[in-house]
Amino acid sequence: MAFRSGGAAAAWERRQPRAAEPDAFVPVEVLGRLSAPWYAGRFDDGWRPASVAAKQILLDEAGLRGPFWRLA
Amino acid sequence: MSATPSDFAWRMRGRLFRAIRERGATPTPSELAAGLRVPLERVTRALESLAAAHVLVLDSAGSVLMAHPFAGARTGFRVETPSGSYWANCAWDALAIPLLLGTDGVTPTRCPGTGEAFDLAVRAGRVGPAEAVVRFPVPARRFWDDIHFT
Repeated sequence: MAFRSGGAAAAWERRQPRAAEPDAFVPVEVLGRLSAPWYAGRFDDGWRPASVAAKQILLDEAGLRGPFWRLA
Repeated sequence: MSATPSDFAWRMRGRLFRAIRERGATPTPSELAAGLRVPLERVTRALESLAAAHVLVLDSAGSVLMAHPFAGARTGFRVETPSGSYWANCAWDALAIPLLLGTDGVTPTRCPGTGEAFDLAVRAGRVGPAEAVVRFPVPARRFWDDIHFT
Protein backbone atom coordinates (compact mmCIF):
# COMPACT_ATOMS: atom_id res chain seq x y z
CA MET A 1 0.00 0.00 0.00
CA ALA A 2 1.61 3.25 -1.17
CA PHE A 3 0.78 6.71 0.20
CA ARG A 4 1.52 9.99 -1.55
CA SER A 5 3.20 11.35 1.59
CA GLY A 6 3.91 10.60 5.21
CA GLY A 7 1.17 13.06 6.16
CA ALA A 8 -1.38 11.20 4.05
CA ALA A 9 -0.28 7.93 5.67
CA ALA A 10 -0.63 9.43 9.16
CA ALA A 11 -4.14 10.70 8.37
CA TRP A 12 -5.14 7.28 7.05
CA GLU A 13 -3.62 5.61 10.09
CA ARG A 14 -5.75 7.72 12.45
CA ARG A 15 -8.88 6.37 10.78
CA GLN A 16 -7.92 2.73 11.30
CA PRO A 17 -9.25 0.68 14.21
CA ARG A 18 -5.79 -0.62 15.03
CA ALA A 19 -2.58 1.36 14.87
CA ALA A 20 0.21 0.03 12.71
CA GLU A 21 3.41 -1.00 14.39
CA PRO A 22 6.14 1.63 14.51
CA ASP A 23 8.37 1.55 11.44
CA ALA A 24 5.62 0.01 9.28
CA PHE A 25 5.74 3.03 6.94
CA VAL A 26 8.88 3.23 4.82
CA PRO A 27 9.94 6.08 2.50
CA VAL A 28 10.19 4.93 -1.11
CA GLU A 29 13.76 6.18 -1.22
CA VAL A 30 14.68 3.61 1.43
CA LEU A 31 12.98 0.84 -0.54
CA GLY A 32 14.85 1.91 -3.63
CA ARG A 33 18.10 1.62 -1.72
CA LEU A 34 17.14 -1.84 -0.45
CA SER A 35 15.83 -3.26 -3.73
CA ALA A 36 19.03 -3.57 -5.74
CA PRO A 37 20.97 -5.71 -3.25
CA TRP A 38 17.82 -7.56 -2.10
CA TYR A 39 16.91 -8.72 -5.59
CA ALA A 40 20.41 -8.94 -7.08
CA GLY A 41 21.13 -11.91 -9.30
CA ARG A 42 17.54 -13.10 -9.72
CA PHE A 43 18.03 -13.83 -13.43
CA ASP A 44 21.07 -16.03 -12.86
CA ASP A 45 20.90 -19.82 -12.63
CA GLY A 46 23.37 -19.65 -9.76
CA TRP A 47 21.17 -17.44 -7.60
CA ARG A 48 20.34 -18.86 -4.19
CA PRO A 49 18.34 -17.28 -1.35
CA ALA A 50 20.39 -15.19 1.03
CA SER A 51 20.67 -16.36 4.61
CA VAL A 52 18.61 -14.68 7.29
CA ALA A 53 21.78 -13.07 8.61
CA ALA A 54 22.69 -11.72 5.19
CA LYS A 55 19.18 -10.35 4.67
CA GLN A 56 19.32 -8.70 8.08
CA ILE A 57 22.50 -6.91 7.06
CA LEU A 58 20.79 -5.63 3.91
CA LEU A 59 17.87 -4.30 5.95
CA ASP A 60 20.22 -2.67 8.43
CA GLU A 61 22.28 -1.07 5.67
CA ALA A 62 19.12 0.35 4.11
CA GLY A 63 18.26 1.92 7.44
CA LEU A 64 15.50 -0.54 8.34
CA ARG A 65 16.39 -1.25 11.93
CA GLY A 66 14.38 -1.90 15.07
CA PRO A 67 12.06 -4.72 16.16
CA PHE A 68 9.72 -4.42 13.17
CA TRP A 69 12.59 -5.27 10.83
CA ARG A 70 14.15 -8.11 12.79
CA LEU A 71 13.95 -11.33 10.78
CA ALA A 72 14.55 -13.67 13.69
CA MET B 1 6.44 -33.03 1.63
CA SER B 2 8.65 -31.34 -0.98
CA ALA B 3 12.33 -32.10 -1.31
CA THR B 4 15.12 -29.56 -1.16
CA PRO B 5 15.38 -27.88 -4.59
CA SER B 6 17.60 -29.85 -6.94
CA ASP B 7 20.16 -28.41 -9.33
CA PHE B 8 17.51 -28.79 -12.02
CA ALA B 9 15.04 -26.79 -9.92
CA TRP B 10 17.50 -23.94 -9.47
CA ARG B 11 18.29 -23.84 -13.18
CA MET B 12 14.60 -23.90 -13.99
CA ARG B 13 14.10 -20.98 -11.59
CA GLY B 14 16.67 -18.95 -13.52
CA ARG B 15 14.95 -19.79 -16.78
CA LEU B 16 11.60 -18.81 -15.28
CA PHE B 17 12.87 -15.40 -14.22
CA ARG B 18 14.47 -14.71 -17.59
CA ALA B 19 11.23 -15.70 -19.31
CA ILE B 20 9.32 -13.23 -17.16
CA ARG B 21 11.84 -10.52 -17.99
CA GLU B 22 11.49 -11.17 -21.69
CA ARG B 23 7.75 -11.80 -21.92
CA GLY B 24 6.33 -9.77 -19.07
CA ALA B 25 4.35 -12.84 -18.10
CA THR B 26 4.97 -15.99 -16.10
CA PRO B 27 5.32 -19.17 -18.13
CA THR B 28 3.00 -22.03 -17.23
CA PRO B 29 4.42 -25.30 -15.93
CA SER B 30 3.62 -26.86 -19.31
CA GLU B 31 5.53 -24.12 -21.12
CA LEU B 32 8.49 -24.63 -18.81
CA ALA B 33 8.41 -28.36 -19.43
CA ALA B 34 8.22 -27.90 -23.19
CA GLY B 35 11.04 -25.37 -23.19
CA LEU B 36 13.26 -27.61 -21.10
CA ARG B 37 12.14 -30.78 -22.91
CA VAL B 38 11.38 -32.59 -19.68
CA PRO B 39 8.19 -34.25 -18.40
CA LEU B 40 5.66 -31.95 -16.79
CA GLU B 41 5.90 -33.97 -13.59
CA ARG B 42 9.55 -33.02 -13.21
CA VAL B 43 8.71 -29.34 -13.52
CA THR B 44 5.85 -29.73 -11.06
CA ARG B 45 8.11 -31.33 -8.47
CA ALA B 46 10.74 -28.65 -8.99
CA LEU B 47 8.18 -25.85 -8.60
CA GLU B 48 6.84 -27.44 -5.43
CA SER B 49 10.32 -27.70 -3.95
CA LEU B 50 11.02 -24.06 -4.75
CA ALA B 51 7.71 -23.04 -3.19
CA ALA B 52 8.52 -25.04 -0.06
CA ALA B 53 11.84 -23.18 0.12
CA HIS B 54 9.98 -19.82 -0.10
CA VAL B 55 11.56 -19.05 -3.45
CA LEU B 56 8.24 -18.96 -5.31
CA VAL B 57 4.53 -18.95 -4.48
CA LEU B 58 2.22 -21.26 -6.42
CA ASP B 59 -1.51 -21.02 -6.90
CA SER B 60 -3.91 -23.87 -6.21
CA ALA B 61 -3.37 -25.22 -9.73
CA GLY B 62 0.40 -25.30 -9.33
CA SER B 63 1.20 -22.30 -11.52
CA VAL B 64 3.58 -19.57 -10.38
CA LEU B 65 1.64 -16.86 -8.55
CA MET B 66 4.62 -14.93 -7.19
CA ALA B 67 8.24 -14.87 -8.31
CA HIS B 68 9.31 -11.85 -6.34
CA PRO B 69 9.32 -9.10 -7.33
CA PHE B 70 7.16 -10.31 -10.24
CA ALA B 71 3.54 -11.38 -9.89
CA GLY B 72 2.13 -14.18 -11.98
CA ALA B 73 -1.39 -12.81 -11.87
CA ARG B 74 -3.09 -9.44 -12.14
CA THR B 75 -2.61 -7.23 -9.11
CA GLY B 76 -3.15 -3.58 -8.28
CA PHE B 77 0.36 -2.76 -9.45
CA ARG B 78 1.06 -2.70 -13.19
CA VAL B 79 4.62 -1.59 -13.90
CA GLU B 80 5.15 0.09 -17.26
CA THR B 81 8.73 0.18 -18.57
CA PRO B 82 10.18 1.15 -21.96
CA SER B 83 10.70 -2.54 -22.73
CA GLY B 84 7.41 -3.93 -21.50
CA SER B 85 4.85 -4.21 -18.71
CA TYR B 86 4.93 -6.37 -15.60
CA TRP B 87 2.64 -7.18 -12.70
CA ALA B 88 4.13 -6.52 -9.26
CA ASN B 89 3.02 -8.12 -6.00
CA CYS B 90 3.05 -4.93 -3.97
CA ALA B 91 4.21 -1.32 -3.91
CA TRP B 92 7.77 -2.30 -2.96
CA ASP B 93 7.94 -4.76 -5.86
CA ALA B 94 6.58 -2.08 -8.20
CA LEU B 95 9.70 -0.07 -7.40
CA ALA B 96 12.00 -3.09 -7.40
CA ILE B 97 11.09 -4.36 -10.88
CA PRO B 98 12.49 -1.39 -12.84
CA LEU B 99 15.55 -1.34 -10.57
CA LEU B 100 16.10 -5.07 -11.14
CA LEU B 101 15.69 -4.61 -14.90
CA GLY B 102 17.95 -1.55 -14.93
CA THR B 103 15.34 0.58 -16.58
CA ASP B 104 12.85 3.34 -15.88
CA GLY B 105 9.36 2.35 -14.77
CA VAL B 106 6.07 3.89 -13.77
CA THR B 107 3.27 2.29 -11.75
CA PRO B 108 -0.01 4.20 -11.48
CA THR B 109 -1.59 3.91 -8.06
CA ARG B 110 -3.91 5.77 -5.74
CA CYS B 111 -3.17 7.03 -2.24
CA PRO B 112 -5.44 5.30 0.30
CA GLY B 113 -5.14 8.35 2.53
CA THR B 114 -6.24 11.05 0.14
CA GLY B 115 -7.63 9.22 -2.88
CA GLU B 116 -5.12 11.08 -5.02
CA ALA B 117 -3.81 9.27 -8.09
CA PHE B 118 -0.04 9.29 -8.44
CA ASP B 119 2.77 7.30 -9.99
CA LEU B 120 5.34 5.23 -8.21
CA ALA B 121 8.27 5.92 -10.47
CA VAL B 122 11.85 4.95 -11.14
CA ARG B 123 13.74 7.33 -13.36
CA ALA B 124 17.47 7.03 -13.95
CA GLY B 125 17.72 4.82 -10.88
CA ARG B 126 15.96 7.27 -8.58
CA VAL B 127 12.64 6.37 -7.00
CA GLY B 128 9.77 8.70 -6.34
CA PRO B 129 7.75 10.64 -5.49
CA ALA B 130 10.30 11.56 -2.85
CA GLU B 131 7.64 12.12 -0.17
CA ALA B 132 5.81 8.82 -0.80
CA VAL B 133 5.81 6.04 1.79
CA VAL B 134 4.87 2.36 1.65
CA ARG B 135 3.07 0.56 4.45
CA PHE B 136 4.11 -2.94 5.45
CA PRO B 137 1.17 -4.71 7.13
CA VAL B 138 3.21 -7.18 9.18
CA PRO B 139 6.71 -7.23 10.69
CA ALA B 140 9.53 -8.61 8.55
CA ARG B 141 9.78 -11.85 10.50
CA ARG B 142 6.16 -12.61 9.56
CA PHE B 143 6.34 -11.80 5.84
CA TRP B 144 5.93 -15.46 4.89
CA ASP B 145 3.22 -16.29 7.45
CA ASP B 146 0.67 -15.18 4.86
CA ILE B 147 2.58 -14.00 1.83
CA HIS B 148 -0.64 -13.24 -0.04
CA PHE B 149 -1.56 -10.68 2.62
CA THR B 150 1.95 -9.27 2.96
